[in-house]
Amino acid sequence: MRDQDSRPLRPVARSASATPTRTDVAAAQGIDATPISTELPSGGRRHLLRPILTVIPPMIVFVLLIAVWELGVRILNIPYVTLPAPSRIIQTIPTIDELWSDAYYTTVEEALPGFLLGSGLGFVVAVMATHSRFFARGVLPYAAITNSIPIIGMAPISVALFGAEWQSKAVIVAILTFFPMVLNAYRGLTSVDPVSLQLMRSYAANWWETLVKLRFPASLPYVFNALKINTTLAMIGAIVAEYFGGPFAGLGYYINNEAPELAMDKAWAAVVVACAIGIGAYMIVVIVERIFTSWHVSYRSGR
Amino acid sequence: MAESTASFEALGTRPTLSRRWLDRILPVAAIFAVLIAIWYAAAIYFNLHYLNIHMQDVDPNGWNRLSTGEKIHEALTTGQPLMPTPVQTIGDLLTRLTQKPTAAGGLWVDVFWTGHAAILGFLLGTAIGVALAVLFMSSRLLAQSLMPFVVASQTIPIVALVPAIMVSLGLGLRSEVLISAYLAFFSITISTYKGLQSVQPLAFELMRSYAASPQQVFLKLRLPAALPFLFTGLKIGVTASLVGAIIAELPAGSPHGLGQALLNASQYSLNILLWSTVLSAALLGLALYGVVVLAERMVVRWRVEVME
Repeated sequence: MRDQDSRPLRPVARSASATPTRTDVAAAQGIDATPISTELPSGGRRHLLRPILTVIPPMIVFVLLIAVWELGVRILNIPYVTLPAPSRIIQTIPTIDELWSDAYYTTVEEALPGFLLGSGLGFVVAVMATHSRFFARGVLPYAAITNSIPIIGMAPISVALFGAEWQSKAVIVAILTFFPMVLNAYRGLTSVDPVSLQLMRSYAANWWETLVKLRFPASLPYVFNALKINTTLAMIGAIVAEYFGGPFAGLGYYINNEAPELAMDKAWAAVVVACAIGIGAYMIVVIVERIFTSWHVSYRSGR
Repeated sequence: MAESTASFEALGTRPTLSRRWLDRILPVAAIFAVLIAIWYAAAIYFNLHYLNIHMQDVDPNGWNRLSTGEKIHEALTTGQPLMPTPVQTIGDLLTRLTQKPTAAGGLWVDVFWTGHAAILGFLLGTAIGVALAVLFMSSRLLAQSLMPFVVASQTIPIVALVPAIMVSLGLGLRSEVLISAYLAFFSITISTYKGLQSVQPLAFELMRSYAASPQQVFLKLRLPAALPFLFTGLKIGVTASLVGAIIAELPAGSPHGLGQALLNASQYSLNILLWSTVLSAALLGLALYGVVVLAERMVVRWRVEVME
């Protein structure tokens, strides 16, 4: 049992006669459906127990972490202006009236339009790059260079050009989310099997039909990977842009206002809300991904 | 079709220089020209918009008498533009880069400050990242229990925590380095963990037949196999650490640093200064990235295809 359980981690322990399975080979070669996969290699064949086994250990760790935080603050008598206890943070959340309007403003009015605009434009540019080799060779190097540049530094430029209201935040979020989508979507759109392309050709399918019926489905895992990266970037972009002068609303503005005044319970309450929104947005993308890419090999049973 | 042609080309003979020039450099140059044109067009648009409003208060008659061409000229040369032109931005950057590195309030002081914090954060993030990956490799239970938190740590907007962390830990380099390390460690953990497991099963069986100890398997098999993956993570991590250092300077008074310079330029609407500071941050990012790429070339001398 233990052998099976730890198979991908300790292949030495396997009996020498066993031939490597397809999953083993794929895992060994570092091949993965998505460019940055964060999923663990699946263990044994205990399908019924697996969900419980994967959920329980992190739950225990989570509870332990919170308990250590709470007890640590109480036993060491840490004042709340340094670090408030979890219980105090949770109790503070319902007492702040403007928290929900701030959260709504940051998420729905700033991050969401920028996220949609940047991801949408990124996908369009990736499709154009798939269509034209010249365009691909011209644009992709720039998209790749942005990986090594702190784009978030452009937030004050956006605020200077587009004002302190939500527009400037949406623009910087759009810029941040644009490049991961271009790179991932292009990789996905061109990840189709050459044989499939030849098949489409033998059906006399035109470029558009090939795009819709072959390239779009093939790109979905990559596109969703970019969307997952972009949910975080969208929240980061909106909050950082609020540090550079805001409309006196939004989570970033609120936190940056309360923290220097040592109202740390309030600041942490807003931090918790921001984290919850970040994780929630990520989960939404994961759920939509499961619905749209349930056919994909990484979700098939047996893996 | 683009990718199939490209792969055929890779198999074939080395293309001639003129062919390579057409294939690689021309598209990049064309897009560069388009970007510069867009920059100038945007500068004219924003500065005209700004001047049209601003000059109504200062000198409405004089401004309205100007022809369109003169207005555009004014928009591109004004000393306090809303959006500086490429020439103004690069000119200002060169002026500040040629100052004495120790000049008070100079660009170099900020670059050294932020670069220093980013490099320390990157090193700390690398240490944490690699340690976590080795820990996860050695215990499946630990991997299962902690990996969700490693992933979740990246879905939360860390920048929201920055003001709170800065107040809790105190302002200064130490907090900046910690925030920088926090942003850097994730990609390093994930890619190193993947790399440590990227060894072919056959190679394990070979090591077993040599009666290799677990330490030997780790040092001679897993570690070399993980190196290309590690560098993939390092390349993402080094930029993340710079982003972390810049963001950490935003909430409250850091004495120096690019983030602080951005904040100052933004608050006083010194737009040429703002743009050249953004450009210098981009160049610092490229330089740090370049150092990691150089290190990769020196360490990983064999050729490996790594899926990023």
